Amino acid sequence: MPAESAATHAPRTGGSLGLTLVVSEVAVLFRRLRTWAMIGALALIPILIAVVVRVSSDESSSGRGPAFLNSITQNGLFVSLTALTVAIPLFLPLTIGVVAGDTIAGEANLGTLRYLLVAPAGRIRLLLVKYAGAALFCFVATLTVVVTGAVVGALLFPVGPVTLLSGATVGIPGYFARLLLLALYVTVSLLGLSAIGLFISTLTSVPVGAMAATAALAVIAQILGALPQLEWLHPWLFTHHWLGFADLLREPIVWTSFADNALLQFGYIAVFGALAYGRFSTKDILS
Amino acid sequence: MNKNWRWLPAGIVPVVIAAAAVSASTVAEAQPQLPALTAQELLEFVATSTDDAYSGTVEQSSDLGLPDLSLAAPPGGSSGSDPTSAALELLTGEHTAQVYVDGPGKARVQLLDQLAQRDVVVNGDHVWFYDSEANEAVHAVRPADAGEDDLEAMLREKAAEHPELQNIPRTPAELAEVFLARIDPSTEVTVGDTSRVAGRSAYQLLLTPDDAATLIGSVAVTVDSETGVPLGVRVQARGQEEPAFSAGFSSVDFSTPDAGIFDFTPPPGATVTEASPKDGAQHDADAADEVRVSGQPTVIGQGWSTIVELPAGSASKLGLSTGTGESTGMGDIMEIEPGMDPEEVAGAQALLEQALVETDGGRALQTSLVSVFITDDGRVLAGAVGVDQLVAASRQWSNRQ
Repeated sequence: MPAESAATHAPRTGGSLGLTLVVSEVAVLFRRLRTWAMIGALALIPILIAVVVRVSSDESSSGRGPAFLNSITQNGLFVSLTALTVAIPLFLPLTIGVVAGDTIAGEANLGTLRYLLVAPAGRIRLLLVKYAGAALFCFVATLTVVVTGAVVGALLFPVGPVTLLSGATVGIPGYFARLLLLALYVTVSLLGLSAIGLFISTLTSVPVGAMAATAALAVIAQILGALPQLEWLHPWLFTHHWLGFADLLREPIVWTSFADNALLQFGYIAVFGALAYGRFSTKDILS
Repeated sequence: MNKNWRWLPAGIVPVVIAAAAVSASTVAEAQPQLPALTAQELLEFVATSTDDAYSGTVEQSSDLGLPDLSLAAPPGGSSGSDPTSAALELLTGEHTAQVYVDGPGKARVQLLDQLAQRDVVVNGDHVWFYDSEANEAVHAVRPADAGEDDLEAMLREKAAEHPELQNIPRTPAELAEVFLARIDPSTEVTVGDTSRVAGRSAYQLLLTPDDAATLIGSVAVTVDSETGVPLGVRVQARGQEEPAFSAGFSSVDFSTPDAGIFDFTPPPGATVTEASPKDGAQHDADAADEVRVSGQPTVIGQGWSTIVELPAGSASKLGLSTGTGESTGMGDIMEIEPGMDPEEVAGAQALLEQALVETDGGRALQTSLVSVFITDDGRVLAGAVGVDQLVAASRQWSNRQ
């Protein structure tokens, strides 16, 4: 469907070409039914959790299940946290894999890649624009989970000042500031995976392959992260700090995991960005 | 046209990252030049540091030769739900804690679990435990006339009642105190190489037990060169290259922490247990009963290779099969020594259940630092010695009795 490709939106003017390209890329991304389907699926996670907890008044499960689950009945705002904990290992990487894996391979598959490169965009700029689109999707996806969780939680359960992990309580405005930070943390966590997806996407013109490979890598990295025999490797895995977002829920906030995570993800962006550049700039574009 | 240079960044970036990682570790290993101190001077220096205020991040890791059970734990941790696995988890894994200290009267240790947290707050006469996963708080007030020792005893008692709150790692200073208190004439105390710890230049105090029986090879305490505050403790087991246990600051800040950190108000909805004086008296009575049934522990030997023996019936009394007791943190395991609380040995039992091996005359657990031996007639022996020493001690004493 060429109408869906960025080719039709690529402007021919110079000047703020980069920004215009990003805007058009984002417009294409968020005009896709697939993107909205994924966002809808992500929004379903907190809704499902909240409804199930609301409907079942069974108290016997206390102490089990994902973190924060038991706090939901007392404070609906915890739905966001439970949903994030559930979404981070699989659902978020899956959707990011679909978006990042599709970046270049999707255009190649549709046969629109060469038209994109006919425009005075340049291959580096195209890579950057595609990556910016994927990064924005990371943020929107995370925010979807967080905001839906807070809204559904507020509808179904009482809300009030939130107890942090340290036992201190913050008011609702303070909590939302932290939720925003949290969404930022998770977004940053996913940037490395997006870079990997971008690179894989330059290797093939079969988008499904790139998507599957990216999502599978996220799962493999988490499996490696769970093997104690590979402890030396753990700090180098891009999934290493994924569940470290809870450090933002402590009082005082522990910033080290945020900084470590950002540095690690930056490393992945640098390595796989360079690889993607090497591959994409030397590739013969035939479609 | 040769486009291969375009792969250049892909080659350079990993090299740059590797170089940065290597140089960061070499900077950390550089030895600072410090004025020489004798061991005695260094010990006195440490003793002057109790009034200091500081905060930082403490990393703790142990390698006791036990299987790593972190795989078995569900994501989000199981610390509150299953005490046994919590104890094992603390003994096998790595842990990070935020530590805030303002003189002897104010301290807060926050054990940073994944998606959870356990806190101990000491503020003057008030002591709080808080476990975020169970949303449980325990409050204790130190009687006005109580001294430091009473507080310590009370803390231990509270911890025994609430095993899930027990696994809070101590500050490096407290851990160092445990080992420095064990220095006896046979212990060789030397000053080791200077090093950099958490960005600070540090002295190193080495304690080497001159005792063939103990499993402890040496204990190294790193001491901040400016303040005398212990920054880290590393325990080396005999015949094991990796430290069996280490805890130390990964970052530290010697400015007074915000006073608000030491204020604790239990959050709404939390289960709060008050440790009132009446409760304390009741507990003392219970404890007395317990002693009547199980008898006093016997102390065999002295110094680093001390063995503690609990008389017949202890094994079942201490709930070997039911696991009522709970294993303590590494710091407490290290305290298996004269005057120890039977409940502490009880704590070791939960751990035992998982790792006991059939031995001649009973069942035994051997870690690289501590051994525990349960005889067939129900006595429990524990100490920082090999299992064979415990077996020998158990025979010797049963013959004499």
